[in-house]
Amino acid sequence: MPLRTILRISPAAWLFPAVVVIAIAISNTIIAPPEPYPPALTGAGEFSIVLVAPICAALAAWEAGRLRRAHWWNLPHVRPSLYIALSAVIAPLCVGWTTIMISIAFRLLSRGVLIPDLRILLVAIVVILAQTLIGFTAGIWLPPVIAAPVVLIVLFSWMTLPPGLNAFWVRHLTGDLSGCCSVDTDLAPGAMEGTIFLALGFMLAALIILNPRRRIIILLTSLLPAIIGLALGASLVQGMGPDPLVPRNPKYLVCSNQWPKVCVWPEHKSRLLEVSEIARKAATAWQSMGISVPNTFSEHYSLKRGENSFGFSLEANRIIIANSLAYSMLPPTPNCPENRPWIGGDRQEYLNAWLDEVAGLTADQISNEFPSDVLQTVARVRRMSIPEQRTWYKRNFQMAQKCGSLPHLEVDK
Amino acid sequence: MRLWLKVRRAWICVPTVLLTALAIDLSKYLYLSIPNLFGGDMLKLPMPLILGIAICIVLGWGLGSGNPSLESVASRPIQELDMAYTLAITLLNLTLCILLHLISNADIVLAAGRNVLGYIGLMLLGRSLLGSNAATILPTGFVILVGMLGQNQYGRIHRWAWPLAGSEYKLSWVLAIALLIIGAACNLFQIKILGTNTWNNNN
Repeated sequence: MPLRTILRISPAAWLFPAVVVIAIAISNTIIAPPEPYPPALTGAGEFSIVLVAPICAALAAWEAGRLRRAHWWNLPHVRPSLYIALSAVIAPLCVGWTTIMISIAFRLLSRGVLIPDLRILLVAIVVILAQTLIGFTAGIWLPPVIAAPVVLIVLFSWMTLPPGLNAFWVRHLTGDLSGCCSVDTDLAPGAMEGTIFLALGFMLAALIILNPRRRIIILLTSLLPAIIGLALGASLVQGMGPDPLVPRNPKYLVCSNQWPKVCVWPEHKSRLLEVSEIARKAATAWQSMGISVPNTFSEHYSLKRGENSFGFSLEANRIIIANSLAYSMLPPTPNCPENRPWIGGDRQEYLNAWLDEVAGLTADQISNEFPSDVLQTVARVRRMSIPEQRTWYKRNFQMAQKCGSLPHLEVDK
Repeated sequence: MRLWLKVRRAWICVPTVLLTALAIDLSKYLYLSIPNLFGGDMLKLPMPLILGIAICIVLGWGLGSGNPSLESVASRPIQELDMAYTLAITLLNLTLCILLHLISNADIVLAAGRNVLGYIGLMLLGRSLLGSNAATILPTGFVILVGMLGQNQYGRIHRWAWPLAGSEYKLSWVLAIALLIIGAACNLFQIKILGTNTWNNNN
């Protein structure tokens, strides 16, 4: 169809500016981390798919209504049905894809990133294509007065209802990947593959139903790819948490050369020297107290001996970074049975505050992080001799790892 | 009369009302997570508040299914009958919602019943504004936009956002009923707001 004709007759072309404005506004509701991390920014930009894809489907249903009104679809045609369908929905498709790309570009450029995460972009493209074809099929089967609003409201509900359900897996199949990612996580491959399988399954089902011969066997056949797509998709996202995330591959870490070794994600590389210096001072102070210090502080979550995990954002100041390093020194959460809960867990902040003060932070600097009674207790501990402080720390450190025991925090006079 | 009811799809519309009322009651604990364009957390739009769109779509389909040129010379007052039929469907839904509200004591069911009044009003207005084919898009698009714009960043509902308000807010009832009256009047007097629309569906 010539561009001029599309601009003249297609509601998709008329609505394009409004859809772009709404899409950018929707994607701006997601707070992305301050780092220039492409998956996080692409995920935030792609959030507008919750409305853009259903709008494309409704517009496709409207376009299909023209073919329906002319009884054109039931006439014999030389060109394949898919070709005809795609040429009819080219305007809604272009509006959807362009809008998503603009919405993503808007978020990427706000952090100075030029290349989007291609996996998330691919998911968005496939989901928009699938929903548009579903809309087109609905428009061929139903009159436009029913098809367009039904497709709009049903697909919008499909995109926005799953986050409110207790079953997490459903939300990872909609194509909304706004839960991805913080700088230490990456997009779960299962979420991407599951969404694409489901979209392809439903797309295939929609294309089968497009067959002009309306027989029950065709309807039943169309269920097959939809069910297979759903089953494959569900199996791939089964067991995932509320967000479609996996830990980021540690091969991307950038590390310092001095002791202790500090490894940060590439987006934090600009602050590596500063963080290394903070870590060196803190580690030296902790070591002087007789506390064993790991050789490596890494932003990658690791259970390796001699490697502690910490984290910070680009906006974090020296105090937050030192506190995060101190937090990484705390004992890991024990796996307690139900009848012996980990009652000492909430007292770990005493140990954390003590480590902060040993690392050189003052009580004033950490007054926002800890309650006053914690700071008072730690102040009393800090007035004791170094061997007494070491004993206090080691005793509480060991008790904090046990189930059903409360660390002894009172200062022995 | 039987033919008129058949053409207006009464045999689909009445079961739709019954099923929608049932769905409203069954879905009262479900909600859509809608982005709040004014910032803040995601908004929770209760599912029953949008389900009334189903009635409005089927009703809009039925109202546009006639033959306007033939009906204009009919001996029966078709336009008045159409409006009576529309109001009867609206009242049937409202009555069911009131009954379900009395049984379940859920405020949201009553609010859903109120919304159907407004949605049907918008659909009727849509017939005057956009024509029969696009009439049902108006309430559907409206409810989605209200979902995203109807609350401030702290989750407080704006006064004009009647579909989101609780059933105890009188203004929301006034606005929904006003829309129904305006829409019905536009259809009764065949007012074409844009002047290019048609009163029947081109199915």
